Amino acid sequence: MSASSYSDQQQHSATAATVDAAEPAQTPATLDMRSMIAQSGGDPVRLAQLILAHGGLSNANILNALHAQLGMQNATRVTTEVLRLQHRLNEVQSAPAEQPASSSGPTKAPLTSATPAASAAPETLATQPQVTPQPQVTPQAQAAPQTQTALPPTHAPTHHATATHAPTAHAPATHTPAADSVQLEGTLNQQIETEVCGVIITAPVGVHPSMIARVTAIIIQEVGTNRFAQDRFRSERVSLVIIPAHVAMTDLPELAQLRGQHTFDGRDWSTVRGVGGTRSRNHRYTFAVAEETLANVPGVKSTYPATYSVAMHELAHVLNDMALTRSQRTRVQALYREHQSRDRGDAAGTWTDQYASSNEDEYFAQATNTFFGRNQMSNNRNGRDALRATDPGMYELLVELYESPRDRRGDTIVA
Amino acid sequence: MSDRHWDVYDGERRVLTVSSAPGAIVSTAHLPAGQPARQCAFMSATSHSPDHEHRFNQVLEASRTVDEFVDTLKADGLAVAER
Repeated sequence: MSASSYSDQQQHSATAATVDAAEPAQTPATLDMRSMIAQSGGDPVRLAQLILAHGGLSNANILNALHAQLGMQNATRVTTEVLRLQHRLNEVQSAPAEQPASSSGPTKAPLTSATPAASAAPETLATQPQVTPQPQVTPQAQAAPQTQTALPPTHAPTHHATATHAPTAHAPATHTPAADSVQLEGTLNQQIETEVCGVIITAPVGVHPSMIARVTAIIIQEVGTNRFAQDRFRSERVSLVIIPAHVAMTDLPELAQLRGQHTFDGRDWSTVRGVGGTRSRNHRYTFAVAEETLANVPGVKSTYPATYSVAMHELAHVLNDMALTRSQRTRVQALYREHQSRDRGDAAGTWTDQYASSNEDEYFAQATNTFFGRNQMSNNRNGRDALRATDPGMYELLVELYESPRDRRGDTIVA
Repeated sequence: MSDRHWDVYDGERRVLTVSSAPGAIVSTAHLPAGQPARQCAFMSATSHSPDHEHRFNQVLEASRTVDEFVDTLKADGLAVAER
């Protein structure tokens, strides 16, 4: 889409608004959005910067107004730009406290202003215009372009990098991970879809919009540098559905085929708050996570602690199913056999527990959580240092998989 | 006697892995924190397909041996390959 390609629709919308007496009452967000669209001059990147400066995706009213004004396709384009800027900003803000000198595997050269979009940003933006500093943007929106010249290694994320709260005008960014809770300023009143690194994110009505940024950060962490996985996900139409906190998973159209059925271990699917890949009626390969597992939602109790990421685990399963090379799969199998020969899961002082030890798939998915520091559910050890100390083979594999850029064939890209 | 292992396919897609070793019955639905996996006295298995799990659960409930479980899946039209 060209920088000005939504201008016609914008013009149409504005015109329609002046003659349609039945138009709903204008909210402050609607007025803000019209003002921002006008200020952007038809440039989606500029509009994304303005939205970020006005609170990003933390305010559902802004997102709802965006869709009302521009329509689904153009709004998705702008939303993706906002997510990219947010992610870059979060990385920069969390970087100083996140550079373990000895625990991040191979040393990576800092990225320059020319490379971050290609290496870590959503794949769909690879051909889009680069973000360029705008002279008249607000101070917060300026923060992203200013720091592009010396970004930290975006492909060496640590567990802190999963802090995904969007910096807003009301919540200035700090160097500490954001609290894992959200203030519900509003939820989506229409379904949002956007694609990140080959994964279609579906946020149904009722989801808090900040959840989109949260799952985006996780997707980028796991496959942001892996072109092979991104291509596979795209061809298989992989979709991540965010289950609204107050909605049963089986009430969503994407998962309605499970309604009235039970899981293999006998649970009613309607009580489940996350699921691995299933073929939906729309032929997508869908996996789902509940929003209360992404952040604390007031009034809703999650069945997982905040120190555990279900989304990261489920995405690791999809990666395992679709996007490991043959040699990587063989290594996982061998590592699992080796692990089982010395520890059936309950050995003290290791990163594993019975769940991780139940089969090679869970072993891989739980190892991924451990690698990113999001596997604190029982007495197991958590974090990459624990993984390296107690399971060095798996640690080496995950360093290669998650921190070494991969081309479309799955081979490591050597700089 | 060593454990036996099977892969179960629906078309090209692997939907289940089964072992004759007693152990966990693992769903694609993530277990809540701290909840132990369901155990089976005559087999262990891991599902890879949410859509098949209702039937897997029914077959498991009706089976008394791993062979009976696997044979029922074959009768359902799934392809079963022993490793």
